[in-house]
Amino acid sequence: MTKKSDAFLLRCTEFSFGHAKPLMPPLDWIVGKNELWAVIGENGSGKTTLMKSILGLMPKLDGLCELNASTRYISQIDQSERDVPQRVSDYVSRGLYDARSMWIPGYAILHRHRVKSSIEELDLSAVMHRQFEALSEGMKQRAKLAQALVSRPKLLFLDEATSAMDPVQTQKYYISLRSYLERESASCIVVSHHFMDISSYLTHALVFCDGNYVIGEIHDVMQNKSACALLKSGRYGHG
Amino acid sequence: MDNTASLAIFWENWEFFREAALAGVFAGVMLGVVGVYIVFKRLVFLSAALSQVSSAGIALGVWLLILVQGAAPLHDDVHMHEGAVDAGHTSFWWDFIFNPVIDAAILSLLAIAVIGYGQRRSGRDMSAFVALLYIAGASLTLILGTRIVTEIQDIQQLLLGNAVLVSPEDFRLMLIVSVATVLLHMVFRHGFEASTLDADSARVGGIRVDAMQFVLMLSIAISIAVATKILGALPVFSFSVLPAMAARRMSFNVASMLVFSALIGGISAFVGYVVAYLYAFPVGPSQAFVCLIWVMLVYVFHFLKIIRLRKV
Repeated sequence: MTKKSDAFLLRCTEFSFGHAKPLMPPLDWIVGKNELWAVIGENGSGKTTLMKSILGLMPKLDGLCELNASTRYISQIDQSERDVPQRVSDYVSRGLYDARSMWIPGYAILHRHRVKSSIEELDLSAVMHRQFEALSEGMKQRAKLAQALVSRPKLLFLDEATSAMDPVQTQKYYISLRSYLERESASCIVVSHHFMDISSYLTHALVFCDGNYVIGEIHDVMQNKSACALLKSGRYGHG
Repeated sequence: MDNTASLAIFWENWEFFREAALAGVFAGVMLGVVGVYIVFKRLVFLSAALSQVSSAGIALGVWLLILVQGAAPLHDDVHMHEGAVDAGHTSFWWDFIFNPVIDAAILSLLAIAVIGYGQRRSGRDMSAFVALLYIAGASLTLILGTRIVTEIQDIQQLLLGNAVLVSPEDFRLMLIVSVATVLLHMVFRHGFEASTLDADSARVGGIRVDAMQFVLMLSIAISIAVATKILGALPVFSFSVLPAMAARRMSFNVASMLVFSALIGGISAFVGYVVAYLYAFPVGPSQAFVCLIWVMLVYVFHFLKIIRLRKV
């Protein structure tokens, strides 16, 4: 069992917004270091809502939500990224900036070695001087991970971050991600509809099913009847 | 017409034209910089609407002044102030309410606040509301223009832009606002860029996206209001959109786009002013047309490049 001192604690004592009826029973969620979690559920089950609420991108859930690590969020490529002149290296270096570093002149130049190593880690060296807009959607999603990793976050949130990738690209993506988590003692939470394609890389899962949830290590969750039925229903990748 | 001789005369009389020509250059550089974000945010028609709203604010300021104390010429702040003194009103609030630039800035800020609030609350496309602002601004300017009979030429000037001469006060104002805006955009560059291009990631990274966007929109509103008062609505709309459009095709990243856009804005303003002098054209439309030529040239080169690459 993960010790709380080594972990990122997420505890939602009541899973609801305002006066609305609770969406789920209270959830006590401890994410340990080096763990790769998947959040699985049908459309509208509240997985993206939970993630965005934890990150402060939506109104907070009622109850306690703690997050004690430097975090980065990776979603699908935003429409506002279209038609912006930026090389892949420029795009990745934007990940260096946070509330503090954005005020430091030349910060990206001082940390260009981090940009380079992040690009190499995601196998993007050959296209680092190309325009981001000219990349395929799958490559853009890899560049987005490189952008998130450049700031060396301790907790990563991925929301359908591999939606445009084929299984081979997805595999490479998760190998890079796992090696990062091990090297930096970091953790990651993934929202994905391709559960079966990524299940071999996961350590834990949180599955929303029938107004309830199943939480735990991946093999325990896979053996749970209701979670298992949902996961193997064919809607979550190649089973 | 002997253009060489006229150009020589222009330089000989540079002292006379200097303030108007440089005011245009400062506006071109400033609006070239803010225009990059206007293009990124797909708010191109917002700048058109804001320049009209600013015009309406200026017309409103002049009309209110005339209403209270009788006619006072636009672009003549000294006379306006003297008028205020004659009428026995010298308070801060008097200067504040009847200052056309302040009125233009207030109306622009109000418009931007409503659009920003609407976008944030509903996340919907606000283009219909932007069109409403444009129509409201343009019609109010023209309606108020009929009530400012002696200033009708100034109202035309306000809409089309014909800054042949700029008063020393306006020149100073333009200089201060443009330098402040460019400095602000240098300091806030990474915050503006992150909060405009990927707001969610920026928020998670701890950047105060709403505060960044507020400062960005404030800089857009103030720069458009001040430039509209001095140059007119047409060149302001052109400078805040066309240089960024041209720079987009010439640049490899956002920093280079900001530099190219500022340069194109500044050069277009100056060349437009000289062309207007040489051929006796109105200044504002000439400056706008030079901007347009930039865009056309850049797009022609861009398409030629694409055709050449396809052949290869």
